[in-house]
Formats: sequence, structure tokens, C-alpha cells
Amino acid sequence: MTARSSVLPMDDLVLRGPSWSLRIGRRAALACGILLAALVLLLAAALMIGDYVVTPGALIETLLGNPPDRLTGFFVLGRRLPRALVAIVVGASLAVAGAVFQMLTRNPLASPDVIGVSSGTSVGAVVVLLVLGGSFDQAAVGAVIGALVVAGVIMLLTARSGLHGVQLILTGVALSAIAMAVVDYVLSQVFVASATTAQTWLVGSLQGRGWPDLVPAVIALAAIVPLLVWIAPDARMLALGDSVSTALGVRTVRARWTLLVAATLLVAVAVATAGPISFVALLAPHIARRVAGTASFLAAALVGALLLLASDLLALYAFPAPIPVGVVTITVGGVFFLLLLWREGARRG
Amino acid sequence: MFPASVTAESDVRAPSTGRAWLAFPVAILLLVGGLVLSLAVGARFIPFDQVVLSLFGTGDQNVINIVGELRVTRTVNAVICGVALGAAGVLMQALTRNPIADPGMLGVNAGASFGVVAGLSVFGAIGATETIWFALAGAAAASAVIFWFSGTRFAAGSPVRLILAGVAFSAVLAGLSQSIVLTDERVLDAFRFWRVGSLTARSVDEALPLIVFVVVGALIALLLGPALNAMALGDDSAISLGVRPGAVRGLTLLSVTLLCGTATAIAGPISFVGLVIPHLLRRIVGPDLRLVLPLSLFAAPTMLLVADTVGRVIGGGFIGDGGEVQVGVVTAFIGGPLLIAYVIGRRRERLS
Repeated sequence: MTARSSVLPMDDLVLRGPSWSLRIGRRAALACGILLAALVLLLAAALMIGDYVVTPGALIETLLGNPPDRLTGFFVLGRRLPRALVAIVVGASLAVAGAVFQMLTRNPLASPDVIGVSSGTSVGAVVVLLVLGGSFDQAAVGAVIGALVVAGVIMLLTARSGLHGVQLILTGVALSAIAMAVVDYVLSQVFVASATTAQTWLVGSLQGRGWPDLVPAVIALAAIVPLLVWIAPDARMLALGDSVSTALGVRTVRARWTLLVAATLLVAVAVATAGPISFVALLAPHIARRVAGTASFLAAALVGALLLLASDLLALYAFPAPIPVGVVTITVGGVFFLLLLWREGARRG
Repeated sequence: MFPASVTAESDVRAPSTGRAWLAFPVAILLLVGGLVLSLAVGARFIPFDQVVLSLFGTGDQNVINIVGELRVTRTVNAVICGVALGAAGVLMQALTRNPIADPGMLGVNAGASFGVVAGLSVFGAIGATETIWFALAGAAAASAVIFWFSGTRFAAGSPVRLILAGVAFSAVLAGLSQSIVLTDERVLDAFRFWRVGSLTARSVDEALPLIVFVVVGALIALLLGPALNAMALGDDSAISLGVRPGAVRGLTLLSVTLLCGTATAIAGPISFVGLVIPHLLRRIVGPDLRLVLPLSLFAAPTMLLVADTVGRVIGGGFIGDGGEVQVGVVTAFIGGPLLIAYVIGRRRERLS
């Protein structure tokens, strides 16, 4: 025991129970605290700014339950709060999904949008919306099915080579191209009005998202998050490699499938709520690793929430007219992705 | 121009050269078959003799209408775009030394789109002739970036990193285009029609002048074949064989720009033709670009013609009525699985 704790940084706090132990890294805890504070600040800003400006005093009163006037109450509680919460939930889901995919594949470039899972959700949703004539709620179910189908196909195709490796990514790129071809085809076959609606959805937007969108997402997360918390210790072991983690008592196959299903469901929830918002899943885990110094799902979730909330504010107020948040994340995220490739290449030489 | 040592080497592969000379007549025959198919098959099948009659302006008036107005348009466009995309694909794979490079996936088409959007947003509505210049400018900028990136040590010898860079680059360009389109209703309205992108988007009168660009681009490509063969050995070997790598890169860039910019201006983004055709041809005649490049000028239009005909025949059956599956969708369904098969069949080390 002494040998082991000497490996740990001095200040880390270790909680021990009868059959479990939890190490809380000082830096990670500090980082999560700072990220949380930043998130709260940004949330406050999101509630206050806009065409109708709310003062800090009025905001506090409104949140405590007695808004100074009806308009303030409407804007803060009816419009801005649910939208900001949707951004936080979606951003966090995408970020955790990205972290899981990157860990599972041991590839820093893997993310649901790169390997085609997000395109699968688009196909599912568009087919339900435009071909079967379903509602937006039913489209969410289609999105989930689409995500699972693509993830399943990728698993089948790359099962022999193992999940890691470039085969997974290139297979995903090809599948993604096929999926987007299906989407384009469906879009070109329907009336212009419905195609325009679907197009906006496909970019990923938080426009008009409110409480009705938030509730199903939160319910779904309530089922997925415990699963992730339960499997997280195994996931950390898995990162050491299959043989080591098997020796340490991890059922690697079960752990891998659980993680894959959980991550795919997270993507599906996020996409069903806000459309396929690109690159958050790729970016957030990287930034989180930088900030927290360790691969932590919690830090990734916080970074993802921050990213999406900030992007949404940018999309709302930085342009002459509001644009879908997906446009902001795809542009910023794409540039970041290129930098990432550059650094990755530099390291390998 | 052509180094003797390389000639000697390619002469060693006698069997492939023998097959190569057989490949030319076969490719031409296939192209003719594709042309006939494209003119004769559709929602309504028209016997070949009537097709020929209608081309000369005689025979059934309905047939003249169908063949003359609709099918000739798409056939001409398919040939122009096919020639352009096939040759561009061969050039890109040769210059980036990357077996899975494709102008569509690497962002050249996205660059052309962005050029058009930028042009629309600055100058308002623009005509077909101006569109091509903006598309060419965008394609030029995008292919310059991609070639530069493929030459740096970060992507050299790593197909997957180049592809990923292309995917990200396309995403950034698409994002920029979207942010312009979605904030400016004027641009949205004009761009909507441009980006629908199928072989019927441009009439023959609009497309024919653009042949000049494709012909010039294809000629440059054909002349570059031997030099690119030498470049495949590496820059140092190429220099010692009397090739100037800088000049070859510049000319290739020019050629790819002309070809992809024109194809995108005519038909919108069509992926995977530039990926599949070079692979297919290399498998049949070997890696010699003096054979692959000219063959691609026949094979790629054939693929596009067949894909377009297939899309026409199976269209309408799924959703909507009387619709068709756009040629880009069909090529994605042909090319996507082939790419997956290639990737899966390859050893990991060869790709990373």
C-alpha cells in the first residue's frame, strides 16, 4: 500500500470503502471547480443578454421565483433558461460520447461525427420525418435507430482488426459519405418547405428549443449516466490495454459493448434534441484532458457544456442575424481539428 | 523528357503492358455502350434506331423531345464531368502519393462551392459564366492548401491523416459557406439552385463553352504523366532524372483546379469518381500513369454515365413520384463500399 501511494501525487485525496476506492486528483478537482464556475457565469450571461437585457438584480429575483415584471419572467424562464439548459445537456452528452469513443478506439481523432454515427442519426431522423411523415418526437426514435445501426455496422466491419486503428476511422468516413448521400437524396425528393425545415435541423440548431425538448433528454440521461458511472472504473482499466485490464479482473468485452452502447445512446439523445452538431464531441475531450491533466468524463462534460453554450451565444449575437449553432461549431471545430492533426503529425515526425 | 531507366523498368512488366493495349479498345467500347445506354434508357426505353434518328432530327417528335432535350443534356454533362473528375482523381492520387485521395473528399469541391457563395455574397446574383470563375478560384485555393499539406512532413506518407485533414477542411469550408448562406437571404436564394447539383442543372449551351477548361486541364494531365511517374520515386530521384518537382506540382495544381472547378460548376459536388477509377485502372494496367491517365478519360465518363442511368431507372421507386436518384448519390453508393473494402483489406501499417 505504501508503494502504491508513493506513486500518487502527494495531495491527492483517496477515499476507500470496503470494496472500492476513489482517488480524487487535486488538479482534476480544481479544474472541474473552475470549469463549473465558468459554466455558471456563462449561464448567467446567457440569461441576461439579448435584445431584452435583464439586470443581475432582476435575474436573481426571477430565479428565486418572483420576477419583477412579466416580460422578464417570460424571457428568462420561458425562453433563455430552457435553451441554455438544452445547450448544456446536449454539449455535455456529446462531449462524454466523444470521450468514450476516443478511449474505446484509443484514437484521439475518433469522434461520433468523424466515424459516421452522427450521419447515421441524420439518416434515421430524415427518413422518419420526410419519408414516413413522422413528428419530431418520432424523428428522435429514428435518430437513435440510425445511430445504433451505423455503430453496429462499423463494429461488424472492423471487428477483426480490433476497434482501434485507422481502419475504423476510414470506414467511418466512407459510411458517413454514404449516409449523407441518402440524406441528400431524401431531401431532393420532397417539397421545398419540408426540405428547408429538415436542412435547418441537419445543421444543428437550438432555435426554439424549450422545456418540451429538455424533459425527454433529461429522462434519457437519467438512464444512461448511472450506466456510465458504473462502467467508468472498468473503462479506465481498459485504457491500459486488453491484456492488462483482463488481468486486473475487467470483463473487457462486456465493458466495451456497454461503453459503446452508452456512447451511441448519448449521441442519439443529443442529436434528437438539437440536430447533429459537429465537432463538440471531438473537441471537448481534448480540451478537458489539457485542463484537467487526466481523462475525466466529468471534466469533458463540463467543457462540452461550456463550448456549446458559448457557441450558441456567438451564433445568436455575433452575426447580423442569428445563425444555427452548428455552423459555429463546424467552423471553429474544423480549424481545431486541423491543428490537432498537425500536432499529432508533429509528434510522430 | 521521359527517363530511360524508368522506361526500362516498366518494360519489365510485359504482361501488364500487353493487357494495357487491350484495355484501350475495351474502355472505348464501354464508353460507347455507356453513351448508348444513357441516351436510350430512362423512364421510357427508346429503341436504338429511334435514338439515332432523333439525333438527326427525324422520327417521332416525342422521342426528339426526350432524347434531344433531356438525355443529350445529361449525357454531354456526364462526359464532361466524368473526364474532369477521373483525370483529377488520378492526378491527386499520384501527386499526394496517396491511394485514397479524392478531390471530393479532400475539399476541392467544397472550395469551389465556397468560391461561388463568396462571389454571390459580394456581387449579388451572378450568371453562369461568372459562376465558373468563382468556382475555379475556390477550387484553386482549396487544392493549393491540400497539396501544400500533403507535402509537409505532417501528412507525407500518411494517407489517413491527409484524408482526415480533407474532411476537416471540407467541414470548415462548408461551415463558412453556411454562415454566409444562412445570414443572407439573397445568397440563399441563388445558391439553392446552384447546389442542387445534378447532371440536369446546366443546359448544353451553358456547358459546352466550359469544355475548353476541361480539354486544357486534361491535356496538361496527359503531358504530366511521365514526369509524375518519375515523381513517384520521390523528389530526389525525380530531380536526378531531370524532372523539376516544383514545376510539376504547379502544373498539376493548375490541371486539378481546371478540372474540378469546371466539374463542380456544371454538376455540383460529385464524390468517389476520382477515387474509384484510378484504383480500378491501376489494378488492370499497373501503376504507369502514361496508361492510367488516358484510360481514365474513357473510364470515368463511363462510370458517370452508368451511374446516371442507374439513378434514372431505379428513381421514383422509393419515395416521391417520377423522381430520380442523383448521380452523386449513386456514385457514393458505388464508391463508399469499395473504399470500405479497400480499407478493411489493407494491413494497418500501410494506412497509418
